[in-house]
Amino acid sequence: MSKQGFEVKKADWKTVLWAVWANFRKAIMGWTFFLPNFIMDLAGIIVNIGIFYFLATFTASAMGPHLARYGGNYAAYIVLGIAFNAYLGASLNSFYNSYCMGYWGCAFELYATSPVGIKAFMAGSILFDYFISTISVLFYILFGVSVFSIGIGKGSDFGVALLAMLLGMAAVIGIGLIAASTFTLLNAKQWSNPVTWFVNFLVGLVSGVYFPLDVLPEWARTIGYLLPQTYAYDAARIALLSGASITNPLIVKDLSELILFSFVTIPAGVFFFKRSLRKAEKDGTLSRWS
Amino acid sequence: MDYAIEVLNLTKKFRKVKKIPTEAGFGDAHWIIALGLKLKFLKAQEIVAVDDVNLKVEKGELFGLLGPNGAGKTTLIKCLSTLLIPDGGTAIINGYDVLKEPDRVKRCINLVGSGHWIGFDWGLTVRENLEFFANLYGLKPSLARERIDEVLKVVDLKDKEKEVPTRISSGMRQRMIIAKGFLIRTPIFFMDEPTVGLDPVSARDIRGYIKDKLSGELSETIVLTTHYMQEAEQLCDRVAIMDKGKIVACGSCQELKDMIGKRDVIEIETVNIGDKLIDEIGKMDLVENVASHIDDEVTSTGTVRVHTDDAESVLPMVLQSIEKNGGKVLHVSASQPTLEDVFMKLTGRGLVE
Repeated sequence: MSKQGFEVKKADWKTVLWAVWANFRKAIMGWTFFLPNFIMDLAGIIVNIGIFYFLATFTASAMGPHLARYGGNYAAYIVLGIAFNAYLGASLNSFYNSYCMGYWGCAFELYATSPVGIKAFMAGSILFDYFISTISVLFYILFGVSVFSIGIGKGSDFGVALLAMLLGMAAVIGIGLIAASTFTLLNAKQWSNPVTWFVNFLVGLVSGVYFPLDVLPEWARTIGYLLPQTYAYDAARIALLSGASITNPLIVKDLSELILFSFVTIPAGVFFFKRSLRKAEKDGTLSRWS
Repeated sequence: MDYAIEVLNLTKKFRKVKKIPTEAGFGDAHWIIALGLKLKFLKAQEIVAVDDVNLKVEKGELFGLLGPNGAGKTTLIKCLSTLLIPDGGTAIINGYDVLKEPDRVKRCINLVGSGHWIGFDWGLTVRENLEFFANLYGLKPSLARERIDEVLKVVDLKDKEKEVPTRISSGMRQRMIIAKGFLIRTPIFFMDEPTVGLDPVSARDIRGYIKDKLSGELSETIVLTTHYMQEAEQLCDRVAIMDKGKIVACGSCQELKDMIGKRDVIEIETVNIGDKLIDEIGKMDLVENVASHIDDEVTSTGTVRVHTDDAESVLPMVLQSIEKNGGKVLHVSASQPTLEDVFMKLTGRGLVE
């Protein structure tokens, strides 16, 4: 019935990639546009490293006995923890943040009626979050190695650490999708939601970001084992600080757990996220102006 | 008959829920409030925004949806453009079902809305924003350049093409939204109150482009919502009048006006129009309908339109009533029926009150 040569063509991969890139570039432009905020963001990373380094120096003797599997250096332990947490934090938070940007920035209706769809918009802003995390991680590692002499380099198995982080990201992305779905399903629209709030709270306390799980009571450790972050941090640290390879039983156990988590969280995340989009289309809440 | 749009028993309901205060700064505790509202939402009452609407729009037709604010026009347009999933019924757009084949529907339609809801990028200039949209829709660069030049002239933004949206007026931003819509050629074009907030000259130029270029030359099927009856009369081949989610009448402007019959329409321009005056006139025996709209809020100056079968008897009573209520008659005339009169006859209210 339609008139020949008159329809908008289905978006090809080049157009979709262009849309992702364009949104990524827009996010970068927004980030660097306000110079004082940009400088403060970078300075914040350095200040964080300093604070945690000095905390590590003061508490090193108390932590020492619990750090045997990580090479015994608390400064190295904590700098790597913060660096890894930047990546897994992006995996957890970026889907929800991107949804907020699409809704509050009135971009979703525009993309929803365009050939590329809202996923291209979200992919661009999520990519930006990972880009920022990468900059943070590079700073953490650079300062950790050069200023605080943390022992990464000789004997470190970077491949295993990377694999642990990728599997950790996969497992956490599933939780991130569930978090994004709360925007519509629970009407959590004001830049915070119960899922990331609760998971971030637990990660800070019981996943081993700042201190080894051994120092925690049994019940707290049990909660920590319910988080994929715990296994990702453990495996990546062992690989980088003790040089453990992929055949090390500790690494095998951690990576297996992460794969299991991914099998549960990713399907659950996709299910809830699809439901939330469907609900937004039913309620007319793709846009703040409905 | 070859239809571009067929709306079949389409119904859309919303739950009335307390709005979350925007930018209220609840910080991390916000989701607790959101959960509270969610519980409240479960008990909320239902509002029927579009009520069992049936409609057919022919290919190449310029079709108007006329109705007051809140009549359901935007909701209907959003359902037809796949942004909203209806609760009942469906619509066939260019041969594709909005429920079963939304992706195909999206490729046949173009949508222009009024106000803020189309998200422009404040960091890009007017021209760069249009280039962005052209790319998003896969327009070739040379065609995009040519089209952007053309639409910038139509919306009179050629001299503002290097400005960012935050540095141009709200009327210019609205013209930018329209320019974005004019970039893309699709068989069906939905325009939601396109000329709201525009100055009369820009509105006239844009109406001219819609009528002559998009409808006349390109034969696009255009569905345009408006609450300006002159716009509907000037542009549309046929008009559907909407009120409270329902289509109360549909036809050509002449067919609709013929519904008024031989009834007299008196138009009185006066100052100090108030609810009491309108109530009083409405209760007069020979008055069938009365409506008013205010042109000057400060002095309450505007027009009162009265439908009656006996203008000779009614006019003195109406003038007396105006005088009694502190009004001052500026002009009285016997008027030709307009679409507003049709709306008054069908709903007992004015289109703009």
